[in-house]
Amino acid sequence: MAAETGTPTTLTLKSNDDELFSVAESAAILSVTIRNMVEDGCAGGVIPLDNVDGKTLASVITYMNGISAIPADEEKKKSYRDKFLSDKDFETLADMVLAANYLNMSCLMDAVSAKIAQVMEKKSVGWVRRKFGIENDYTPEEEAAVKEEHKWTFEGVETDDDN
Amino acid sequence: MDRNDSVDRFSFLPDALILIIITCLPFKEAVKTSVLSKRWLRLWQSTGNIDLDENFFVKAGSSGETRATQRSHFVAFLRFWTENYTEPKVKKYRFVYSNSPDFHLPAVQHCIKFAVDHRELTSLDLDFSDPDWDEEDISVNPQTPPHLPAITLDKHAVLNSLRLSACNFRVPQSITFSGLKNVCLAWMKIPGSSLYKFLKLCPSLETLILRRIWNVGSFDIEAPNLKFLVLDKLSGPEFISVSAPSLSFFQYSGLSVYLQMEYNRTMTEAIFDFSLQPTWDEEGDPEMLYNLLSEVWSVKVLTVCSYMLQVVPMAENSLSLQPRLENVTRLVLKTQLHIQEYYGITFFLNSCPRLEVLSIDIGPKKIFEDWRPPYGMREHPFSSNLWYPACVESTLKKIEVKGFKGDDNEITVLRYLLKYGKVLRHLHIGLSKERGADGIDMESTYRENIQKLMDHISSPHLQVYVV
Repeated sequence: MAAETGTPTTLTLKSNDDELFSVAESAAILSVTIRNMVEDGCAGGVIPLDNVDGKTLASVITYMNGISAIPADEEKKKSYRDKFLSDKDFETLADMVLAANYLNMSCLMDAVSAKIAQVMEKKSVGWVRRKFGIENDYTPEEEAAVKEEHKWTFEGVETDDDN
Repeated sequence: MDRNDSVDRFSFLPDALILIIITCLPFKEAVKTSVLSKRWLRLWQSTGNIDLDENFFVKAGSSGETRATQRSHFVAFLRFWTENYTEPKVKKYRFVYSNSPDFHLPAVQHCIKFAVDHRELTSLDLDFSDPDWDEEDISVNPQTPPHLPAITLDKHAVLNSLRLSACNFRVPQSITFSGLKNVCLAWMKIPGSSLYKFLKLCPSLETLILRRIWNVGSFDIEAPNLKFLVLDKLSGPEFISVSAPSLSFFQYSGLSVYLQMEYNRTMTEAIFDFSLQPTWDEEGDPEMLYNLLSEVWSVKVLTVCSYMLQVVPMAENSLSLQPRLENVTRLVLKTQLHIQEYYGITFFLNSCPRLEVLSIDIGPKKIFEDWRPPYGMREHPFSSNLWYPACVESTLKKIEVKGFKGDDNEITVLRYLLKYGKVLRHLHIGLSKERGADGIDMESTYRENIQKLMDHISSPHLQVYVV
């Protein structure tokens, strides 16, 4: 292992659009998926990550390097995560959920989920559908019935026109 | 769409991942997702973050009849939720239902049973208090809802946060809450001995708030990791001992009580408010307060009340605290600026040699009738100009006044501070909102009174702001 030999082991990750990235093994194994590959001895060459594109992978690697450089201090890690996610647009966050899920990185998954939830809060149904790409498969009557059932939840919601 | 490839990217996520996002949402927002599409209709019902709060349904200010209807809608929702909830792993659970004549006991029993049965909860918050209860009158203990099932937490080993208000709380016996960091107990009767035992079960406790606990008796708080402690309007104790070497914030409000704080070097802020105290005892109170201030010597921010301002100078040798509060840079006075408080104000100014910010919150206070000036002085320093505290001349940079009306007592104190405040840079004056006789708006009068200060400014750099 890196710590024992003094020379950090570097892994090469390949995105699904064929971009190559070098990353320290100690940072990359935050991903349980990658860690399992390393432990199984499959990390000798290039590690293909078929479900992550280059743009998202670059972001995830920035996160891996940043968070692994912080010593065991949960508050500092949290503030790093907040800062890291603060300038990400919604599409990037959505890509990162999928990537974090595929890479099995629970800390990133939790942080991105919380961030997405924060973005969703108090937004109109129309806005969330558009941003999430959710197809409305209710008939107008069905939708009205669901809204009526939980009408208390629709107070203080932004109107559709805001976005 | 912003980008074509983002179409329906969430439809690729399995329900389990969408649930992680839903669980991050406040409960009300989670329920709202049911309207997104058929797939989302029931997903929220498995959220791990449950918040059943009657205030979602019952609106303050509605008529009694309307409120009763709104409460019945809430109970109907409770029933709906109970029948549909499927997820066995709930993390956070909050239930708020106030005591009132139409209290629906079966629904409440069910919701409490839910809390007691779910051992994997990390956060539990149950509140049966009534917003109409009088927080200030601690001689009256409110009637808590009868027949509430006991809250037994003998299996809740992973709790991180616990808030119980007006509950029938049974202090557990044989469990250690090793991860429990935040506890708030309010509106209930707990003997001090039970409280002591409970705190012993919480070795990681960082925040403790005790509010309107009655029949508490004298008690000890021993908590090695406690950082934040609020004791608010307890009734019953004569003696409270706090042994919390990591404490950084301490607030006490309520009756005068013998408070003993163990030697502590980490405390940065203390707030003392004895404004509920109806009388003062010349024999014990001044010394008790003096000793208490000595025990919080490390604070940077100190808030004191009118009671302290009147009583502390009665302690012996008390032109200031010895040793002084060298770290205090901000002092907040809750005061009427009555002459009986003047000695206390100079006492605190003398005690804080490095004071930079002085906040003066002016409002009506209890002024004790059986009071006499301390150390036989006839004239208080503000009018005699015989001596003045060092901080006023050398370190005091900012004065913030709230509730300014400009009566004679206020003017006397502020003129004095402006005259000797040679390095003052900011004076913020917040005008009182109080109306005059017959409801006349007094703002312009209060504003004119500020002129009475302007000829007494020594500092060449002072900026005055009025809000």
